[in-house]
Amino acid sequence: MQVVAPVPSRSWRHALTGLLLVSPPFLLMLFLIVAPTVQAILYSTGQVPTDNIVFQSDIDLVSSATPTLVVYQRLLSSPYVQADLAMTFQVTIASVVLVLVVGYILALYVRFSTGLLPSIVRVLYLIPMFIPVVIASYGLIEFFVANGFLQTILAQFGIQNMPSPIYTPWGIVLGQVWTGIPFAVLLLGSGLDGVPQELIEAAQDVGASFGRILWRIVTPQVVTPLLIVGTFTFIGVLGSYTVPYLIGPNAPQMLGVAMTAYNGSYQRPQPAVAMAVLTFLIATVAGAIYVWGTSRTERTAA
Amino acid sequence: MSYAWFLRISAMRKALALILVFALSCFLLLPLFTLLIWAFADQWTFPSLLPQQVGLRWWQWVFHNGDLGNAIKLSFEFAPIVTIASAAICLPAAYAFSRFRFPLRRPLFVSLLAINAFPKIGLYISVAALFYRLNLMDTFLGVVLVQLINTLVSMTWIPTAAFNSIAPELEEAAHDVGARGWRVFWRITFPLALPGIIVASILAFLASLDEAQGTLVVGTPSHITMPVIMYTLVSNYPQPVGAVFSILLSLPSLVLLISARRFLTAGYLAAGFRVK
Amino acid sequence: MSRLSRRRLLTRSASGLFGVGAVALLAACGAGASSAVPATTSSSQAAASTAPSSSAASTSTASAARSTAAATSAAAGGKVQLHFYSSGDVNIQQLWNNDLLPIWNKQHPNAPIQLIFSEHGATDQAVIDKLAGAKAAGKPTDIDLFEGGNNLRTYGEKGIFVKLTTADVPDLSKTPPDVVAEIGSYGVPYRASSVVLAYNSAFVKDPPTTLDGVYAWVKANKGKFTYNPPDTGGSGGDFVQATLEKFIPKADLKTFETSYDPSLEKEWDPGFALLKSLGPYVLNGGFYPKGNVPVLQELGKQTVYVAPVWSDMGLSYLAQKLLPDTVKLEQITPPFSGGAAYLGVPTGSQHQDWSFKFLQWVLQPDQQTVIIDKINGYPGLEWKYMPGTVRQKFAALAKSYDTFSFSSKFSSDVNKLWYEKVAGTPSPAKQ
Repeated sequence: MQVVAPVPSRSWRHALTGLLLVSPPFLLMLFLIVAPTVQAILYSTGQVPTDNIVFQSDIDLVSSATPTLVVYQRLLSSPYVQADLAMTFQVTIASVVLVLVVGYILALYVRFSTGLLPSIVRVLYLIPMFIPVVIASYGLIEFFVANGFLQTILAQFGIQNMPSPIYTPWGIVLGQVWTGIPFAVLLLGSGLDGVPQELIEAAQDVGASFGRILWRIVTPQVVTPLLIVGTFTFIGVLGSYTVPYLIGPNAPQMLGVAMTAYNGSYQRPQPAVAMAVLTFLIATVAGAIYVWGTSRTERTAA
Repeated sequence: MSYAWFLRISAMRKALALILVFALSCFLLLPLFTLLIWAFADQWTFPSLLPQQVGLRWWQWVFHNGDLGNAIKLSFEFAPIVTIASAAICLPAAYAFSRFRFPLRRPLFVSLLAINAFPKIGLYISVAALFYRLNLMDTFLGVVLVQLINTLVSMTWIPTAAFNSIAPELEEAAHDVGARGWRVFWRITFPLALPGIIVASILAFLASLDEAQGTLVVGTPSHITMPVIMYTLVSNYPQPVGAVFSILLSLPSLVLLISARRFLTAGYLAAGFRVK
Repeated sequence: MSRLSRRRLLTRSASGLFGVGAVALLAACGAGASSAVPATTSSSQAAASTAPSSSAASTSTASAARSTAAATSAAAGGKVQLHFYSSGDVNIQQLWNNDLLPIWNKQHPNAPIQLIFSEHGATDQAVIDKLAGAKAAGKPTDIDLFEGGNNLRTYGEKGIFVKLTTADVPDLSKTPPDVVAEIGSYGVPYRASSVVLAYNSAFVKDPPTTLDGVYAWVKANKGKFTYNPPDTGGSGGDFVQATLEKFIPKADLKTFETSYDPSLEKEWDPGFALLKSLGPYVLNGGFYPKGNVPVLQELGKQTVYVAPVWSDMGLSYLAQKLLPDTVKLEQITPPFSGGAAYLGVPTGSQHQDWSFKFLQWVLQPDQQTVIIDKINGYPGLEWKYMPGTVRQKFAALAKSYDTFSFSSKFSSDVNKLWYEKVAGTPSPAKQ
């Protein structure tokens, strides 16, 4: 983040005021993110808190004085959890790719077209942002499900027995794309706004094709937004529950769904928390790529 | 590029664009439209294109169910409180990020992202474990706290960008004519940053209004908000009930979208997440 | 703590209650779930968990407490006002307020009953705490009747509710003994529901009448049967349970019902293998809708012809025309399980004589018929005491139901193993 022009004051008083002002969100973060995470890591490595009834009543509880990875070993050696993990990755990557492609096309269209149609799109793509995910999932199910509205429409044209994506991994991808579009287009759009019009016109003047302009001039300018959208979507899908729970198959499940099942209906909070820690780790890797990417582009830009 | 000729013909290009936009509209709107039909369907079985019987039966059913009123009331209690709390916590921070120099400023700013970097459901499960020890489970405060999580990033980043976009010369000029710090802030800085703050507040309001997972984990059984009820509806009631409820639940959001469209499309939102 | 098994909780969301479903999700989402349990018990419709209490409990405290309460109640004379704390979904509230209580109040002008209703039992625990507090302080209470499930037994054993006998409520003898035993006689079962088999008679001319018959039918009619995963609702849960129970040696049933011993779980293997073998013949080659209602919706869409459903939900759906009227319900042999909702009397009540009268009144066929008509529940009485017309309406269902259920931890393992051994595929998704 580049601060346009900070008031030039380096006095320690100023610094202290600044730190004081920014502390509330970080204190809250400490309480709501860091503390639970630390507790989760401790718990999943066998350090069971004695004052927590929920944790005590655990089936298959691993309790150990020294940190142990037994819980993780058990989890990762289960073929069912492996299948869940594999499905989670497949769905997450497919969703990220699709969100990026659809989002980029839409952002390009909104940015480089004029007229009535693009201005319709400009409102259209924002809509999912204002629809609660539960409702979006419900709508998608009722629309795409076997004998749902889509198949009803198709049946009018004599098309029947189309397979429905609902209750398959593809259904989850569909839901993630639907809910992910606004954020992607917004960010990519803001990146495209930064591409100087003169640069594109100059390229057009020398006869560069659309594809060439897109690839050589426009895309390099939006690497950072693409990275942000990719990372955020990745993490969002990884930690999602509503869409895969409602739209996904019975098994294998995405990690978020499996996690809640372990925590609730299987009465095994410890493996559930271990799964949470696993997703944190995966997300951290993704976050690191993002930070690395943005700082790299920042350096090249500087 | 054998297909290029096709795109060079303006009419063809327009037709293609039209088809794509139509496809997009279908993808985004038809699922919602399906719910709209279901909400008024007394009987609708495959393969009939429209309901065999139309009526308001399920609307009555929903309105006679006491849970609904409570959930709506509760949702609209949480949303403003969460928004105000979030603003109180984050706006000073946003101003500081924009106007002050202090150690670790940039790392701190970026580290806020860590909040969004946590897969939500895993986080809520861990938070619940902590809340359980602190007796915050199923309390108003607990739900407010859990809903705050989702507002911190946008409530800090978007206003920071808004403060950044204000040319310091303006403030300096005000100082030059003798205005003091607070006066400058309220008369110059705040009004100029207001659109960005409004956008961030709308997002926070919606984040709270639509938050289901965390509220579900921390707030049940006595803090059942509208989206939490939706979960039950979807799996426990006939389609029309869920559909009626979906419409009721989407209305406030849509009203916000329409009334704040000017701000939302003006780029404040995107500016907040722009990492140059 | 209440020993309500979580599956049971889900089960009962069956009847379509806002609260319970949410709690189901809480249970799904977890932590702190156990703290949430008491409030949900109540959740109306036959909220009774059939999970029995493991502690065989002291009854002496109950009877001791009772004598003091009886003494105070004797003082009551003339006109009295009774307070009845009930809970559940709105349909239960309407049942009492619009249908049953007006009749009672008209017939008993000297003892009108005021209903204090708690939606989904949100305040149940507070009421019980109040009773416990009054008892500890040795004071009488103005709570004369309480509707509950397993909490009646849990707190009855602590002396808060009266252990009922036929001396108090003569027609208690006409209620199914096992259902009364389930709650330790701390309540009168006044309505119930169970899981039954639904079939679409337009397509199924010769419906299966036994559990084995169901398996055979499923395999002979590919894709026309389904049930919901055990953790998403009791209708599918009881189908799974019945299948597992079939292979469990009788001697071990008690252990499965009351305690936890993972080493016994190998006795489930044949049951799970059987369910797994049904997989390819289930809707869409193995799709299990996530909940009681989604299964009913599949029946409504006629994508399946046979499925286990809750009796009261099925009947309500038929009444609301959400199911084609060719869908019929029947109980099979051995029967699927079910459960009852109970009315209890606090030991501290000052008007116990009236409370007992009320319980006796609720069990009369007139009132029982109202319950059946309004909420499609089963009567609290045994079927043979019901009028012929009612028996006729429920002819296919009017059999006893199974009161067996796995203990809470065993249920959790059923859920997990079902996902792994039945729905789950060890290798990458079949697709």
